[in-house]
Amino acid sequence: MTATSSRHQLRTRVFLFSVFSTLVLGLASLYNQLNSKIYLRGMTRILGRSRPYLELQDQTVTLGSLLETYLSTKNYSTLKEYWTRSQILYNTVWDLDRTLTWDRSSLLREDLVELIQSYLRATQDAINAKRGRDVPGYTEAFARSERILGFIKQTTADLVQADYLEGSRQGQRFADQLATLQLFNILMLLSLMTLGVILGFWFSGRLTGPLSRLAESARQIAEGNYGISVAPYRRQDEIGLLTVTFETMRTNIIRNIDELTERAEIENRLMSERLDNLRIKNLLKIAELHALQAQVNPHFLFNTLNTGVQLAILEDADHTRLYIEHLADVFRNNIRTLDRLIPLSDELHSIESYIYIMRIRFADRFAFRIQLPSPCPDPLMPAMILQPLVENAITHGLRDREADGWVEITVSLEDGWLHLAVTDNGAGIAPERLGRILAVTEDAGNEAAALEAVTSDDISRKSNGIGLANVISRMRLHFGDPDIVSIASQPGSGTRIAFRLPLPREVDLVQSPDC
Amino acid sequence: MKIISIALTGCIVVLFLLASGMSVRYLMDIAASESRLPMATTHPDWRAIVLLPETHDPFYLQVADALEKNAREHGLALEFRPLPMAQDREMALRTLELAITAHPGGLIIPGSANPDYVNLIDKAVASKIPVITVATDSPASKRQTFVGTNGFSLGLKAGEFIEQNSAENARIGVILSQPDPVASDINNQSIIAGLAQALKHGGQRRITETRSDLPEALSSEEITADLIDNHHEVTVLFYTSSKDAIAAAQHIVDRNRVGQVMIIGVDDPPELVDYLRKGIIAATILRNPDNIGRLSIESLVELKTSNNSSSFRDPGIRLVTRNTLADAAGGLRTAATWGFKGEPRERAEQAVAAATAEPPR
Repeated sequence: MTATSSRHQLRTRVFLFSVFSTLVLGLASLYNQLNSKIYLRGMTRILGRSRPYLELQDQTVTLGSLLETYLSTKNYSTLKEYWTRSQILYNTVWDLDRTLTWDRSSLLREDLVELIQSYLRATQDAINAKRGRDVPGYTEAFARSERILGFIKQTTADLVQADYLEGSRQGQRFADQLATLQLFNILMLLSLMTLGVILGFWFSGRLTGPLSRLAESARQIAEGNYGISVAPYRRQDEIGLLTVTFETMRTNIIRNIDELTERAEIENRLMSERLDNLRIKNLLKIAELHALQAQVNPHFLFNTLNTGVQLAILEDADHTRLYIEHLADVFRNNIRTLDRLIPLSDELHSIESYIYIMRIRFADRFAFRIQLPSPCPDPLMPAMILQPLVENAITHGLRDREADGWVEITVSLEDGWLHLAVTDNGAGIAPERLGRILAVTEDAGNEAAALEAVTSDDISRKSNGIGLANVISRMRLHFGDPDIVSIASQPGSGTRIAFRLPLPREVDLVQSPDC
Repeated sequence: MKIISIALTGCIVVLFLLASGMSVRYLMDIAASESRLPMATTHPDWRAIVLLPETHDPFYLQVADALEKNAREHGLALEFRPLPMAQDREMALRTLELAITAHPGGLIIPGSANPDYVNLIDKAVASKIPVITVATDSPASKRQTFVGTNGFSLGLKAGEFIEQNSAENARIGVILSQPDPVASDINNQSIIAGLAQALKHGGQRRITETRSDLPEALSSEEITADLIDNHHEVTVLFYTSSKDAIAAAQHIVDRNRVGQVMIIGVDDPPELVDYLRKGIIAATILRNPDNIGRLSIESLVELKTSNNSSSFRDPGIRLVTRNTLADAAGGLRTAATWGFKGEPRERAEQAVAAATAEPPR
């Protein structure tokens, strides 16, 4: 109940203001009515004060006429009428307010009463004399009554005149007082009207001010400015409820927007991750495709090489057997699924087989070195990383070098990172080509096309098909580190391609048996 | 801005409160005064009717004023009616009869020797209405009391002044006022007798002209003009009406005869006092209307309460000259109450101020 009533405070205020205004107007009107009533009463009293005396005079004159008629006709009905009229006149005189005052009207009224009483006695004397057949008596009494009637008329005239003069004086005084009263009434009404206007202006301002501020806040929010602060409103009324509800709505909107933003970010991240996975898969597919294209029935070759191993054993040709075994290892590594992670030791083992073959193939033309830390960690990493790099070093870097060429594979630990580097002292990479490789690998959107171009180029250059760009892209996508690779190349001096791999804690400093 | 608005609103509120307060107050005053009309705070105990000559003589106005003032002190309401004795005798008699028929608690009237007038007085007394005659008397009637100046004393006082201040062979003119010719005859005879008594041992001084003014307007001025213009031997003029004395003074000024004619008047209306102060009128005899009013009311109250009062009460007279004007200021102050029946009170107050001012050297 209290909450309901407090919620209706605004309505109550508007209602009370209306009631107050109506009451004030009503009171002003009633006051005006009271003024008019007093004015009318005063004027009626002033103007009507002589009326009773004029009526008395009329009654007296009527009585005189009846007396005269009776005296001349001696008619009983006239006498009866006379008695009735005289009784009425007597009662009227009796009922008059005979309070004696100092003013002339009061004294004249007393005269009039006395004169009428004398007149009634005179007329009664005349009637008695008439009924007693006393002719001189009724003649004298009638004459006396006529003289008194004259006095009554004169006194009535004096009384009317006195009342008129007194009434005029009172009327003038009354009019003067009313003029002053009217002046104050006009002042009162003017000030009341001005106060009403001021009060209405103030009240409407108080009423619409918070609403205007609320509307401005709503407009700001509609324009997307959710950070505004809603003007405080302390009253517990409808506007207060509206303000609180509005503030709650604003807070909810902000929270919902935050939630939506957060959800969208999560979804974006998920989408990005999915996209990355798709890209990795796509690259792998492309790499595998190119690898397959580059392979000539590797299983057949592998089986054939095994047969060759058997044959070498039978012929006791150990070098041949060892050569064929390493060649078989290289083929086995090449046909291995590329999306599988392998330990670093496996990758090193594969590259050792490859190097063995390259040593046999190029005799003392190139030197190969592998430097490992001790102990050597053995983290998981994408397969077929080192071989393409060594292959590139031989194929592109040392291709035109007849002697003293070398390729060095270095594994080191530094600042919690595992650094894997392939260095040669070959021809180096031209800066524009190096820039193109790096740009292509950094452009995720065109990665596939770039890779296609690079690998095509590699193929055209008698590469095994898995080029530098492919290696870099796979490493970047797998580790999510755009700075994972660094290439230092000086044309004519050699090239150093290094990878910086995060070192998982569990494999820190684990000595691999192959290292 | 806010402070100005609040101040402005406060001013309007104050204006509203003041206006409404004054309006309510005025309305209450009007309502109260309007409802108070029939109710006086004090009421008279009884009433009497006063009939005074219908004249412009300030003396009677002062008498009326004194009567009313004293009557109020005794709870007596007075109803004044004019009595046109000189103008319309029938009307005067009829007025008296009306007053008697109205049966007041008392009658205060001027006296008259007219038999009908006397009869009416007797009728009033027979109706147990006490009758007081003022200024002039009806000695033949059954009136209970006469309050007024004795004509003989008035004449004697004037004669004594003339004897002391006029030439040995001065010729004296007497102009008698006649508010009621019948009543005045008796009174005038007494005045002449008193004057003659004073001049009995006054050497060669003689009353050579005795005139009575007529009720019509300007008659006294005509008499004065005739005496001054055509009777150069008359050097002393005695008036029994202040109005006539003032007219004579004005005429002397107009004729440039100031200092050649001695004027003696009665009573103390402002104009007369002014002429007295300027030396144009030599002396005036105060008939003391205040005392007349007071003694009349006292007599009426005595008759009302004990049915007994003196048959004659003398209010006394006093002669005032230019030199004794300051001493007579107390007596002259009666003029200050001379605002009866519309006469401007300011004039009376001016007269008192003039009378008490230092005379010019």
